Amino acid sequence: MERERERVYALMMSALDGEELAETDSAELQASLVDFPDLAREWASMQQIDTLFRSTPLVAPPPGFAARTLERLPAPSRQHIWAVSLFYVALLIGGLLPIMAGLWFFTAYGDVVQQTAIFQALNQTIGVALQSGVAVVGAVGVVAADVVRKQPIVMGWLFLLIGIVAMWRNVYRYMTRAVAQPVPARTS
Amino acid sequence: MYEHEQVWLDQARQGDQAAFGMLIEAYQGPVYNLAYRMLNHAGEAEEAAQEAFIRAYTRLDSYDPQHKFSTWMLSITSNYCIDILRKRRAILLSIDEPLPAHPALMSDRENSPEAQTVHGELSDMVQTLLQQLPEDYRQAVVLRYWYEMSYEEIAEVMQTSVSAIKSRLFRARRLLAQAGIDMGISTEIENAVEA
Repeated sequence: MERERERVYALMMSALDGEELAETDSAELQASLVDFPDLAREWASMQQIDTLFRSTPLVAPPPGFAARTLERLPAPSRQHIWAVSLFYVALLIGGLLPIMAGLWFFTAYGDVVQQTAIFQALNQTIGVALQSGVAVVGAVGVVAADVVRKQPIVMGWLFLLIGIVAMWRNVYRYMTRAVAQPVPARTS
Repeated sequence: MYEHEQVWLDQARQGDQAAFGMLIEAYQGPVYNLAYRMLNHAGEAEEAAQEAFIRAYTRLDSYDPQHKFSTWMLSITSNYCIDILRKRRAILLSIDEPLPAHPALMSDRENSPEAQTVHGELSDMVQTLLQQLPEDYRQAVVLRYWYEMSYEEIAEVMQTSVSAIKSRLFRARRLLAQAGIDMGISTEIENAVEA
């Protein structure tokens, strides 16, 4: 009996969810509703409430809702504005400075730079500097590999320091994010 | 999903409030409706809907574009409404008092006094029935009927399993049916819907 009622409820839910019942299932549901009058009453009520809910439209917000909500949005914090401003200033200076330095250099030393001997000396100096750089990077690589192999504790500390730096970076980002400021609600 | 939604989201993330304003315009209806159906009070619903948008704006960095923005927005709204309902319960305020029908329910094509009366009765009936349900059942019912969400989508909004949603909807429907029988509103519904 209980199992039969459970089966009836399962069929009711399927029907309410918009599933098309097979003919046999539909016949089974109708027959069960005759056998269980209480379920028939419940089923009628379920169907009516289902129809009512489906025919009830969305409630529209009061006029001016969007504008009032927009007014309550928090402004970006001053700290955030300063950080963004500084970033853009740094980018501007970073782009302008090399151009200005280059212009000044060619204006002041244009005649000197055009002499062939100076070009050769410059090339040699750059070549030596590059060779030295490669040698230094190679040596540092060998030492670093040795440290990794022989000094796991040092490496552990290194990773810990990197972790601390990353954590503080996130703390900084969190503190400079746009923060909600309390603004009194206004309703129509 | 709206055509320019992704652009608005990107601009809003950069702090562009006007772009977020477009998102508010686009989603104010569904967000407000959910708050109103849950809270059954026009003033509180507006406050809750505004707060939901503010929360979304300040947490845009945590929005995962793999999910629908509407689902994320409704999730924030329904969680906020549940918080309000719990606070209400905590201070022992009654939520059973019948509240007047919201004026926005009256559409232009239904301006006759008779139509307004029928519409008002229907609205009252819907809200009265919804108030019979526990908060989490009401949440599932509103998302199912007014947003036509699948069980999977409701589970995503309510951060639970599909089987839990099936169970809540089953119990909610039985509670609603019983409430309909007890209140003797079955015939009223039939007449009002036909009208």
